[in-house]
Amino acid sequence: MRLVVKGLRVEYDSKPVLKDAEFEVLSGELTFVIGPNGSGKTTLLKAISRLVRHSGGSIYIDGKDLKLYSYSELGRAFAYAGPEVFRAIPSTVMEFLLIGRYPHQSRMQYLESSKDVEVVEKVSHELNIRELLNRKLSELSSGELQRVLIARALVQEPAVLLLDEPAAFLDIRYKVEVLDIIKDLTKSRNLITLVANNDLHITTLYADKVLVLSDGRIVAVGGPETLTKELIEEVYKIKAEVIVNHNGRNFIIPIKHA
Amino acid sequence: MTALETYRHLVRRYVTSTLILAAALTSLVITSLSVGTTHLGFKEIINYMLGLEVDTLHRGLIELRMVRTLAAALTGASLGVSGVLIQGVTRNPLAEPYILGISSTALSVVSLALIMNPSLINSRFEVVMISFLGAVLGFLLTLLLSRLGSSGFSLVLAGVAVTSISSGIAHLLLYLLQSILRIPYVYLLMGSTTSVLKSDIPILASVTLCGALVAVLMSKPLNAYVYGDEYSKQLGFNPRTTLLIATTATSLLTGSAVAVVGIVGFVGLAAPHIARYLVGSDHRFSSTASALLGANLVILSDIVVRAISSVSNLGELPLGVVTGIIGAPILAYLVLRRVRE
Ligand SMILES: Nc1ncnc2c1ncn2[C@@H]1O[C@H](COP(=O)(O)OP(=O)(O)OP(=O)(O)O)[C@@H](O)[C@H]1O
Ligand SMILES: [Mg+2]
Repeated sequence: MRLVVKGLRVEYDSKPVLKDAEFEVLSGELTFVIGPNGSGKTTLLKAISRLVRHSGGSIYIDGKDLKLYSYSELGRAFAYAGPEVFRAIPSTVMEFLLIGRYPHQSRMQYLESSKDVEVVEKVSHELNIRELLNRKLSELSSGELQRVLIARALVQEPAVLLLDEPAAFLDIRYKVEVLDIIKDLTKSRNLITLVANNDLHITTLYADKVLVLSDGRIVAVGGPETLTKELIEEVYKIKAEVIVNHNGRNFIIPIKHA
Repeated sequence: MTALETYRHLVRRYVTSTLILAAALTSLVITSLSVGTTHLGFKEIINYMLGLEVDTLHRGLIELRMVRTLAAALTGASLGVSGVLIQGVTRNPLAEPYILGISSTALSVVSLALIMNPSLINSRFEVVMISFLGAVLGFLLTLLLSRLGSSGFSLVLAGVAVTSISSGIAHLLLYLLQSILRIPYVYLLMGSTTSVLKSDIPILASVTLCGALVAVLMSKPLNAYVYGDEYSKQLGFNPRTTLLIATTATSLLTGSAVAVVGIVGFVGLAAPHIARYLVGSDHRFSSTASALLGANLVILSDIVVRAISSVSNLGELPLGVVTGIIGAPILAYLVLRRVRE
């Protein structure tokens, strides 16, 4: 499968936030979207999953314009996991995960099928949250919640998985574990996965492709080798250095403010 | 526990709770038919229900009490469902038709309409519709006022402000209306089934059934909605449509309850919380459980006020006295818990 984004523009209150974004990604590819705060990473992911309206450009999956998709088709095609969830009305992790199955159910279907519950079981096993299923969503630690948010998106069984800072609150062990899972699933289920991320180290370790945003513009797309010292210094306005070279990948660390 | 076991557990809990609540409702209905100045035996009531022969005088008494009992059950169910709906669409567990100013505004609009056109009192259907418009107005006022703040409390504070103002207005207008109302107006301000007519029951029943049906059909959109608009949109539901349908249903349910029995506070708060405690927060389960709980609560209150009046010379207290005693501590508990967080 191929996701093609052409001339995508997003404006908030007529202020352009995403300017003519253009790129394509293939299934089985894990793409990292990086860029400074406010550069438009979240906006890009939300525009692709149709959570924010774009004012120009088009998105295609295998040549089919998303405009032609129905709501439930979109629900089966895209899942976005952001950091936000309202938790004032008490509910359990299980109840939260089950909503991810709705795009797969018919309008009149009242209860879940056994397939629906199996998917929840499989995903909660993969993300190591089985013992959290009966816990209240509002009582989870930020790291636990983060895994639950990713699980919810996976329960949706999308073709395109959009993860916004999926590892921000995870400790090193879970960071690596969750990203391993995301990478494995991307390969085994042939997903198109886009991860918005600010961690250069993690990006270098896991990305098949990187997409660098700066002030709403895509300034570079390509393999992990695209991340050069010069590009990072330019985009983040810092002084950086290449520290090691592992499997032919450059690990760039910031040294000081430019 | 595996997901399958957890899921089975959820469904089983729902089925058990529903059965228990239905059994409780049945026994409360029988009790309600027997309690009063003339006490009737359970056996006589069961005979009546089975269509067997019953003393004619007692039959009349049972039929009168049946009207009250049905009115109490339907009001309770309406308020239980509207509580679940309003909490869902405001994403606020403190929300309640009474606390958010919906009930009081409905009542003041009804009183205003009655002052302008006293003959309206003979057309309950029109009163219900006017009450519905009043309920919508009350909710809009609260929403408008709460825009000034953004915490979960600001909605509640705005609601309390609207409630205070509109209760004051309703109080004044009802005072002026005393001569045509023919019942103590405190019964409307705090709810009572004494003035319900047999002909009110079909109106109340159809609104309650429609509202419950809407709640059931909107379960999935509401389940997604409570987590945020992003979840609604991703799962194929338009959050604005969900908001619109659920608030319309809430206003209709609250409006009809207010028009027929007056303001019965806190049922819309207590019922959803107990329901979620029993069956979880999935709206497929919580809305029907909350309807049953609301019905149980209001019939119980109606029994209590009649029992008090039959053993004392206080006369009959309004229902809101009892539901307030049950419901207000739940509000206090929720507020305390919120403050501690
Ligand atoms: N709802 C909104 N209304 C108005 N402006 C917005 C809105 N959401 C984002 N913006 C603006 O759009 C720009 C891009 O925001 P976006 O959230 O996409 O950045 P980001 O790259 O995800 O940043 P971060 O790394 O901080 O998450 C920012 O300047 C932000 O202030
Ligand atoms: Mg962001």
